[in-house]
Amino acid sequence: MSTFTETKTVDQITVTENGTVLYREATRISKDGEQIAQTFHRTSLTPGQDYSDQPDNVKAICAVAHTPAVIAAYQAQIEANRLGQ
Amino acid sequence: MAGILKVDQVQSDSNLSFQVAGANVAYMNSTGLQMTGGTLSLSGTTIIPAVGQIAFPATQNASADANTLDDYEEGTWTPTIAGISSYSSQLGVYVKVGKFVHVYGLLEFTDSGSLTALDITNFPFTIANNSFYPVGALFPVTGFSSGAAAPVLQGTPNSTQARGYYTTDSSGANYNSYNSTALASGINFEFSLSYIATA
Repeated sequence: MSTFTETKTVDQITVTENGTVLYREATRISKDGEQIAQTFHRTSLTPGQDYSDQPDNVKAICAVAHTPAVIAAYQAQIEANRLGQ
Repeated sequence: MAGILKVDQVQSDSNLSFQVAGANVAYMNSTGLQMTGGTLSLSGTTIIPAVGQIAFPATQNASADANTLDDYEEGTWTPTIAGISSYSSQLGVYVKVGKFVHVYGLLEFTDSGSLTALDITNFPFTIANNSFYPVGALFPVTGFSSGAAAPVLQGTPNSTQARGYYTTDSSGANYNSYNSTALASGINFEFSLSYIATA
């Protein structure tokens, strides 16, 4: 009988120039040790956003990237980039 | 250019190797045709994948060339509203083809509280940093005030968020940002947005 396993792992973490942390969680299904399927779930964390419920490796990066200066600059940039009221 | 066609029966995987100047540039074995570098040029040829699939690497190899398709990915994401922490439903899917991203989402929450803007956050890819503001659709299912008409969604460049706007029946084209006044309770809406990502 075949053995199926499901694993979840953060396989990509990107920090953009304005401090936004984007990461991808891959869910992989394996049959007898060989991957047969994979799905992705993406999340983005902007400077100032609560990241306390995120994976540990993502939290560690947010802690470094989301400094008070970065948060302030991001908020200013967002307001400046909005076209509407 | 002189080359060598070599049938390699020494190695256990029995490669059919193509060498130029003594270096392997391509080989064929039981797993298929593998190239070790360079560009596969098929001039005057139509590519017809027998199994109907073209696979891109899981990590994008971004190209700056305007005629090069460098990525495909589909998946899910969890849309959120800045200032709202409790939801009945949060659903999101995305498809990315090159730099083109299309997102769809559904959000349902009970109380808009003291919301000053309907900022949908957590988009899966950053909207490109330029002067183009992507505009999308917002479909109010329940919980939107009757005077808040013609809802639209506008993405914010260099961010992973978009803001919902509406107009009043009498004010014409002057759009306002949704707030707790324009939202009642039991808010449920769907939205979609297409935009150009940073890579």
